[in-house]
Amino acid sequence: MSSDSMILTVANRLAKHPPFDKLDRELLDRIAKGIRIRYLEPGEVVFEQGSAPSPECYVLVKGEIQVSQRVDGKDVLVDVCDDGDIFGVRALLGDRPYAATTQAKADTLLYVLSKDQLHELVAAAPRVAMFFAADFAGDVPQLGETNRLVAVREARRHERAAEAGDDVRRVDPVRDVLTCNIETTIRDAASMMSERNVGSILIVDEDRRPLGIVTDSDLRSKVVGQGRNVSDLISEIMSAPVLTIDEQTTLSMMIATVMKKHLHHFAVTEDGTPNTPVTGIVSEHDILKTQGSHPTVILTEISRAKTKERLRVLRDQAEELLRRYLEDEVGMSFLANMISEINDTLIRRAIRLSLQELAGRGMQPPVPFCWLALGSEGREEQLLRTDQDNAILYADPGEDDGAAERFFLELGRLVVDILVEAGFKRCPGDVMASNPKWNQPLAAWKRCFSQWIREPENIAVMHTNIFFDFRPVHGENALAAELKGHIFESITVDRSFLSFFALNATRNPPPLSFFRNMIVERSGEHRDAFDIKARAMMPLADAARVLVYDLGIDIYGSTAERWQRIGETHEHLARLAGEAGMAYEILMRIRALEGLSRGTSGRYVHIKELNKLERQTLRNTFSVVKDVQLMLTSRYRTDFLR
Amino acid sequence: MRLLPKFLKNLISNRPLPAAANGWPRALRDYMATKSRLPRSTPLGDVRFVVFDSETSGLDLSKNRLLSIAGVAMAGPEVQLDDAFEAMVAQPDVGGANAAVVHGLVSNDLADGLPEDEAAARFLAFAGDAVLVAHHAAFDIQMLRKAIASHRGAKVWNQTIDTAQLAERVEVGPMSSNRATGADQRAAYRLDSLVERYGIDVAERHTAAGDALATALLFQRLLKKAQRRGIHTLGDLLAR
Repeated sequence: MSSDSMILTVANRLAKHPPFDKLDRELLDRIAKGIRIRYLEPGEVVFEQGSAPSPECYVLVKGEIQVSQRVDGKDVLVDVCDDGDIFGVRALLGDRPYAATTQAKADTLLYVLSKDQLHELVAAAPRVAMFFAADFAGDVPQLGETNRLVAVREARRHERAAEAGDDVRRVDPVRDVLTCNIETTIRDAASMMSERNVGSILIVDEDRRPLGIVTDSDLRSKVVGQGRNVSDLISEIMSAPVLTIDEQTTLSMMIATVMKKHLHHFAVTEDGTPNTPVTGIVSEHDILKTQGSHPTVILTEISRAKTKERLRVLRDQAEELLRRYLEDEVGMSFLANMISEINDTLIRRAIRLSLQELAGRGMQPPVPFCWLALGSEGREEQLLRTDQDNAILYADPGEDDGAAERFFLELGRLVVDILVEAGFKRCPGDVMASNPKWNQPLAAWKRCFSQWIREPENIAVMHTNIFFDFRPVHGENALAAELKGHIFESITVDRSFLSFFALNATRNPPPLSFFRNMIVERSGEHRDAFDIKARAMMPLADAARVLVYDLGIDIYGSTAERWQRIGETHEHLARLAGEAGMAYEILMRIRALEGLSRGTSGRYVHIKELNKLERQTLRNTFSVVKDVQLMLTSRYRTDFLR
Repeated sequence: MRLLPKFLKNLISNRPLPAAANGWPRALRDYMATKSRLPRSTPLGDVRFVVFDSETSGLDLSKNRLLSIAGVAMAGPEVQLDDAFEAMVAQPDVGGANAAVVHGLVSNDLADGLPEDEAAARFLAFAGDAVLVAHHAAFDIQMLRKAIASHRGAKVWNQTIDTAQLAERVEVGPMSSNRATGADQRAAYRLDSLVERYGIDVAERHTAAGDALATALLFQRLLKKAQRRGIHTLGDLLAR
């Protein structure tokens, strides 16, 4: 039995705090109905570190709870909860012992939620899943099966449902899809297309499952262009496999794919894989129509730009687009993808323009080369326009009297100049392809990395860790791959290098917590702003880098992608990696928003300007950073290096 | 005991009901059949309390009627929102101006409610063998008795706790010499004063549900204080 009036009272009280403030009334009432109310006097303990989790978690309605951990026989304060904070979730969802002891410091009123209620909350409200994101890793069964990043994105998508950004908008597929079987001739297919006046035809099997696609541009280039016989089978010229999506795929995901893979059509199938029948087709043109102004338009314009002035205008447009997307709360990884795709295209265009200019002077690249992006651009994590960090790697030229050296140095200078014109500031440390030091043949680069790996002390001194994030942007990828292979090899010989890398990642501990508008430091000190880059983001990025190199994970990816791969390849790191990847995405977003609102790099986050939800979410990331640092310390024994 | 189905409890207690019980509301029969008091040695953490409040058309027992009643159970020190009760009483002949002003209930609400004896009986069936807790409990218990008085043989048999008395007991102690007296003392132990003193904030005060919840939150605090004064069993708590 229950009392509607009491439920209403409790529900209203809950609704003062996130995530309950955004729940629909019915769910909120259902949660309120099962609440137990507990009162604690100062000094009373809610749970003890190391004990098995009770099947419940806690909303602090009024009072103060101190969270402390026993480390080496000493109690260390790790957090302070005040009104509206939720605790006890992590152990409960992860079904692991409590990591800390919680004790009331004032008269404290708790609303106690059962485990079932928490699960119901997480399942019914993706927004809540997001809220607990940095806490729950892969532990929640409802979300456990799907990729965690996807789960976060999904949560954000729901969160923004009312605003209908690209992340929620879907494209109406064309239902009346023109199809043919694999035995059809090119002639027949072409005449079907012209009869129906459509630009593409899907090749399907007897169950209407997609096998391939032919577009009118395929007909032009492969048939007309290559003088192919129109009696040949369509299968000879089709592109396969076809990109498949399901009805739920959002605009932003499609845009990201179009930009990444340079493919222009999606087959819609029943379950989004090529194993079910086709139900529709979406072309880039359809996407454009739905989207209006579109990053791919800017991309196309960039790759056609003839002058550096034009490049600057286009880069400004891209930034404006970014600003709008950020305000629309478009997913972080999509934005990062979009921006690095735009930056990459711009760099490629700058290189092409420079090569043209050199060709005009009668100079051709004497050997293959590869343009490398370093640091955050290398990790595809640039959001706001930052400094250039780049380098040139070219094939060993042999005896050429320095011809290659002269050519690539000139190329480096030209490209860097164009990029400066386009609005990318010069690197203050002069880590750019215009610097002869960072414009080298493969053998020299190998020597360089070997030396860093042998004498890692210099890495910290010279901040050369950004080199380890190199990513090929233009030219001969094989050169970059060979360099990377060399690094992996050297590391297996000299593992002490990893410890120095790891030490670097543990130098800056995250703050303890927030209390009201202040940051609580481990020293007990309070401040009102903190360095999100140094204290939270870099430790996670550094840690991912160490692990990726240690575990031989050969990807050029973002920190979030790195953590994902680390979790996939190393089961015992899976939980932590999941949390770290999630935390990093959250931190990137907070930093970008801070930067946007203040017109800064967003590096210093002001606590009192965050809302409660942002604060809680941010605070959740601190414990993840701390856990990652502890893992590094024990894994690499960095204590011995201090 | 609480978890046993009612019919099983009836089998166990097997208490013969008076002949008149046939005419009682069903809930009242259930309540009377479960009659069993918790041993006084029961630790406080194992006691089911039902903290309740009734709203009446006035404070004069002889004239006034029950308008609404609400209660919430506590498993030891913890308030259980999924174990609560709330009922309005239909009083077509009251619901006069006074009641509307005091309780914010309009006549329509009252007309929609249950008959007085039915509301009281259902509340008692909900409470079962719980220890009843109310602020100035004697008054509320009297109202319940009066509501079921027409059913001969039925009575309210629960152990009861008065939070006003308990507050005084744990705050000053029975032997204290500097006890406030008279009007000051009464004022200091009114629910409003105590709620303010203990920093309890509950919306919807002055409805049965709001006051029952506020009383429950007050009782939570008093229980903690009581434990510090060596009150650990139900018997300790019931002792005067």
